[in-house]
Parts: sequence; C-alpha cells; structure tokens
Amino acid sequence: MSYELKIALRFLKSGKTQTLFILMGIAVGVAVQIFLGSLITSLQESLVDRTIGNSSQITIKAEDDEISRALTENNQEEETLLRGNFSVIEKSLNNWSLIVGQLQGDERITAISPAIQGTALIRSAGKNQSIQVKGIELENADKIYDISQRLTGGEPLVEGNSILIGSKLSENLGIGTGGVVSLLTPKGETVRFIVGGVFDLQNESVNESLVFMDLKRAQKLFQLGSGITAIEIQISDPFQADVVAEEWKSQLSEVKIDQWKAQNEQLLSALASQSSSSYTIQFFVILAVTLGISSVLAVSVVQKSKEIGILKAMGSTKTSASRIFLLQGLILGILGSIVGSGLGILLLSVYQFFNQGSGSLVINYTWSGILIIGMIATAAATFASLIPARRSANLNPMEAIKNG
Amino acid sequence: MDKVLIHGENLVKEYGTAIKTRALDGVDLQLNEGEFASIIGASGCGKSTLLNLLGALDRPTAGKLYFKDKEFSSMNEFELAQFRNRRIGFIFQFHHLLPEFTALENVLIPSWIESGVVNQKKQERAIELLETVGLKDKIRNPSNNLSGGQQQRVSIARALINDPDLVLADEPTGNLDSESTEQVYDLLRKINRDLGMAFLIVTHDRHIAEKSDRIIEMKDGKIISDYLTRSETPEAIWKNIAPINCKYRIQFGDGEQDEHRVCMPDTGYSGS
Repeated sequence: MSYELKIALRFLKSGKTQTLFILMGIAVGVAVQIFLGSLITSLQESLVDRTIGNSSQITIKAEDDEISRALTENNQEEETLLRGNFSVIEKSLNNWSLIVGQLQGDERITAISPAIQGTALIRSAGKNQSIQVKGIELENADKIYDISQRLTGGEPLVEGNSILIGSKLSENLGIGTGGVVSLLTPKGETVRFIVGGVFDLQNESVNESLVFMDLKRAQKLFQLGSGITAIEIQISDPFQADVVAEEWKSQLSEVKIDQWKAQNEQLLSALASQSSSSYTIQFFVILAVTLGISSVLAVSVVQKSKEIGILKAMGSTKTSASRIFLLQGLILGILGSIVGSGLGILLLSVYQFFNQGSGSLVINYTWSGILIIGMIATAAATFASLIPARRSANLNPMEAIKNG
Repeated sequence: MDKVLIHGENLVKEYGTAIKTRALDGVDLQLNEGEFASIIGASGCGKSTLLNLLGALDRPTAGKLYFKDKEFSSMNEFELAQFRNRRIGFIFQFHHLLPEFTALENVLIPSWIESGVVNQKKQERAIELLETVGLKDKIRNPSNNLSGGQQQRVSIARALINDPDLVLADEPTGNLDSESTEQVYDLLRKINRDLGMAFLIVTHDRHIAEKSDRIIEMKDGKIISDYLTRSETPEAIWKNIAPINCKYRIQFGDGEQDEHRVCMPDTGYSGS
C-alpha cells in the first residue's frame, strides 16, 4: 500500500462525521441516478415494446409498382387517374426464400417471418366486414406476434382452411372457434374457411380486423404462386433498425425496406426529449455531488494543512501531497457508488413493491447501467478532489507549520 | 579538523513583494559533522528563517548553500524533498505529530515517505528509537493520547528514523514545562553523542544554549557572534546569552554571589 493511500484512509477515518456526510451525499446522488435512469429507461422500453414489440420492425417488400408508388407518394399529376377505392394485393416478392437465406446468418435478427398481406371481405351470418389477411408460417410468425400464447380460444393451428381471427372480430361477427366464414377476395373469389382459434393481440384495431391464415393457403387465395408480399423481421436492438435497414438496402436489390423508426418519428422524438431531460437532471445531480465533495475536501485541506506541511518537511513531494487528496476523492467515489447502488436498488424494489398489479410498469435495471453510473460518480468525485489536491500540492510547508 | 557538513555563503532571504522585508542579511555559516550548536537571538532576528534555508524548506533570495559538496540551487523540487527526507530530521516547537497515527506509525512515516510504500522494514529501528526516548510502552498509543513532552519525544524519534546527517530543531522545548525541557535536552545531547549526527537548535532557552558545543547569536538577520562554549568560561557564556534571552535579575542572598538567578523566559513566540 502506498503511504499516500494509508494517510488518505486515516484522514477519512479521523473525520468520521464529515466522511459520513459526504458519503451519504454521493450515495444519494448515485441512488437517484439509478432510480431515475432505470425508471425512464423502463418507461421507454415499455412504450417501445408496446409499439413495436409485437410487430415487424423491419419489413422487406417488393419494389413498388406504379400504382402503389403513386398512392403512397401522393403524386399530384396522376391523382386524376387514381380516384376511387382500390383493393390492393401488394406486389409479390418472388425471390423471398433467397433473401431469407441471405439474411439468416445475420446474428442481429431475432425473428424472420415471410408473410402475405392482403385485404378481403369477411362474411358471416349476413354480416360483412373488411379485413386484413395475413398469410404466415405460424412457427416463424409466433416469434413476432406470439399468437400461440395469446389465443383466447381454439388451437394454435393454421392449416388448410383453418384460420385465426381477432377477438373483436369474433365478437362483431358473433362467431367463435369452429365457426365457418366466407372470405371475398379482391379478385371476386369467395372461399369458405373454418375459424380454428381466436386471438387477443392486445390491440383493438388488430383484434378487429386481422385474420391469420396459412402462408400457402394465402398464396393460393391471392394467386401469388410461390411469392409472398413481405418478409417481417425483428432484431435484437430495435433502435438499430435504421442502421440495419440501410445496410441491407445495399445488399439486396429490387426490394423496398421499411423500418419502424421511419414510421414512428413522433414517438422517437418524444422519447429523445424525455431522455435528454433525464440526462439533464442526472447531470445536475452529479454536479451538485461534485461541488459538495470539492468543498468538503477543500475544508479538509485547510484542516490538515499542518499535517501536510509536516509531511512535506519530512520529504513528501508535491505529487504525494496532492495524491493524498485525489485518493480521498477516489475512495469517497467508490464507497459512495457502492452504497448508492445498494440504495438505488432498494429504492427500485420499494417502488416496485408499492406498485404491483397488472399493467403496472416493471422497472428493470442493468448491472452495466449501474456500473456506468458508479464509474461516472467515482470519476466526478476524483475530479472534485483536483482543486483541493492542487491546494495541498502548493501548500508552503513553513507557512503551514507556522500557522497551523 | 572536522568535516564540513553544511556551508552557507552570504545568505540573503527577503519576504514580500511590494514591501520587502529582509529576514536574513548576508549570513555566512559553516556547520561541521556531529556538531551540537544552538542559535539564539530575539524574536524576528532570522533564526527560524536560517533554519528553514538549511533544511531546504525554503530557498535563499541570494547567496549559496552547500550540503557537503552539493549546491542547493542546482537541486529541483523533487531532489530537495528527497534531501529533506534522507539527510535532515526536523523537530518543531509544537511537535506536530499526525494525530491520526500511533506513536510508532508517526516515527515510521519518514521511512514510508522514503520508500513510497507502507512497510515495516524499519519497525525494529523505530521501536529502538522509541525506547531511546523512553516511550517503549507507548508505541501503540494514538499520538494525541500522549502528553506534550511524550509527543515531543516521539517527534525526536521520528526525526532520527532515516539516520539523518543533521537534525534541525526549532524551539524544541518552547512548549514544554521545565522538567520535560530538561529531559528533552538531555535526550538530544545523548543522541548527538551516541549516534553522532549534527544538531542545530533554535532556542530561547538559555539552558540549552549554555550546554551546546557552539552558540550562534543572531540579531537583525545577521550573525553577531559565533563561538565554541569550551573556549569560554561558564560565567562569560551566561553573561553573553542571558541579556538577550532573559530579563533576569540577580538576587543576592547571604552575601553570596549570584546564586539565585531568576530567569524570565521571553514568552513571545518567535515567528521568524
């Protein structure tokens, strides 16, 4: 152990109350940061999860044809040509298995599900309703939509003419598992299907208008041959969606890649401003803690000036004299961070305990996050001891001994 | 001829920038190895300033200072610190122990500074020294649990731990009662005799001055007299040093000559 460390430890130990107060100051600061940081992060995660957790984050489609391009881009000149309602089957992606094969190796992908999207009219007991049909391979689609776990009735099975319908749709049509419905396709064909199950994806509009069916059946229904309309993908870090999408755009030709971030700009900007206000608060917490440590150590330098003078007379160098105070800052920072981490986790559990129940937010913290906060606090504490350390280094031993 | 330990030539020290105060005004001084010398003089005469220069705590404004053959001004901050650590032992008026440490640890601190790390290499030596100063049973005591005299003795042991060539003491007994003063003085003398290191003691106490090998008297930043005690009679020495340091009167009793000299020490703290 360096002798500077020994002296730093003894100085801290001798000023027990002072040390305790400043430790509590750092600990409270760290605890607030952990609590606030985890709260904001969890809030955002929950919000993002609700928005995109059960939907496609990156969707690969075929390049737009003329009509849909005109529709989506709202081209003024061609407006006259496109008046009226269109039943749209999106353009088919014929080389999809190649694309899936190409992307399969990408470790960032957590789910990849080929799908067919189309519109149709559903008929049952004299009631008509316009719906979205989604042709899927259940095993793959489950990874995104988690349908099997969210059935309120029936079997998680899409095969042949068996389809899954939303709970609201089931209610509206007055039809449940085992019931028979007719689908009217845009091409004017009517096909009968059996309701194999009812799902609740916890989204009103989805529950009201979505129907899942087997991918192959959908290919037939919409006369797509072996083609599909979209490859739906989820990735491990949804916030990387734009980066990943850009990357793939350069690798894949003749496709259009949509990603959720472009479609949810408002949400993202709200999240960003929430984050920045959280960072602002955290910054000022750290600043307050830093100033506190700095002033306490500055007082300590004055209190200990006689001792420092003595040490210098006995041959301590300027570097050693300053190190004694830098070490105090470092020790305070480390101890304060450890205590503060415990306090922060305790605070989170207390909060969680009083906010139990369905639908309430679950606050998660990560060890890496706590480590980062602790490291920042430790760095701040060490930084705070710089000025006192400099004063200690420049202390004139004679003056200190004479006036001490 | 004794070997020269430290040698100052025309030392000048000025303080202040706007108004300059000359604390030392051209002092020449030579101190030999193993010498036991005291500096006397009124408050503000430059005694402590001289001591600080010799101990490399401060640099002279002008003049040259040699330790053995090494010139001080050629040394940088780090070398001066090292010099203080290895060559010089300091004893201050108010002992200045570190209250956070035990007696033993206080004695060991200069050795820690020397090596940079806390170790027990010199532990035995430290205990030996504490034994020498009569504190063997107090080595584990927190230093602020000791009496003034005991603390001063710890600080003497501390000054000796790195086997310095020169011990500089600034009013080492200024803060002690007469009994402790006597003890401390005897101790310093004994260490000087046994271990052979040179002592330079700034003092107001004529008892110490009287018993030194050499008395250096200062006034207004200059050395006005410098002599070896063995070349003077005790009466002459007494006469020489008393007027400066004591407002004394001689009480005549029973027709005997000055048997009862009453010394009233100068109580003002010498801040120079």
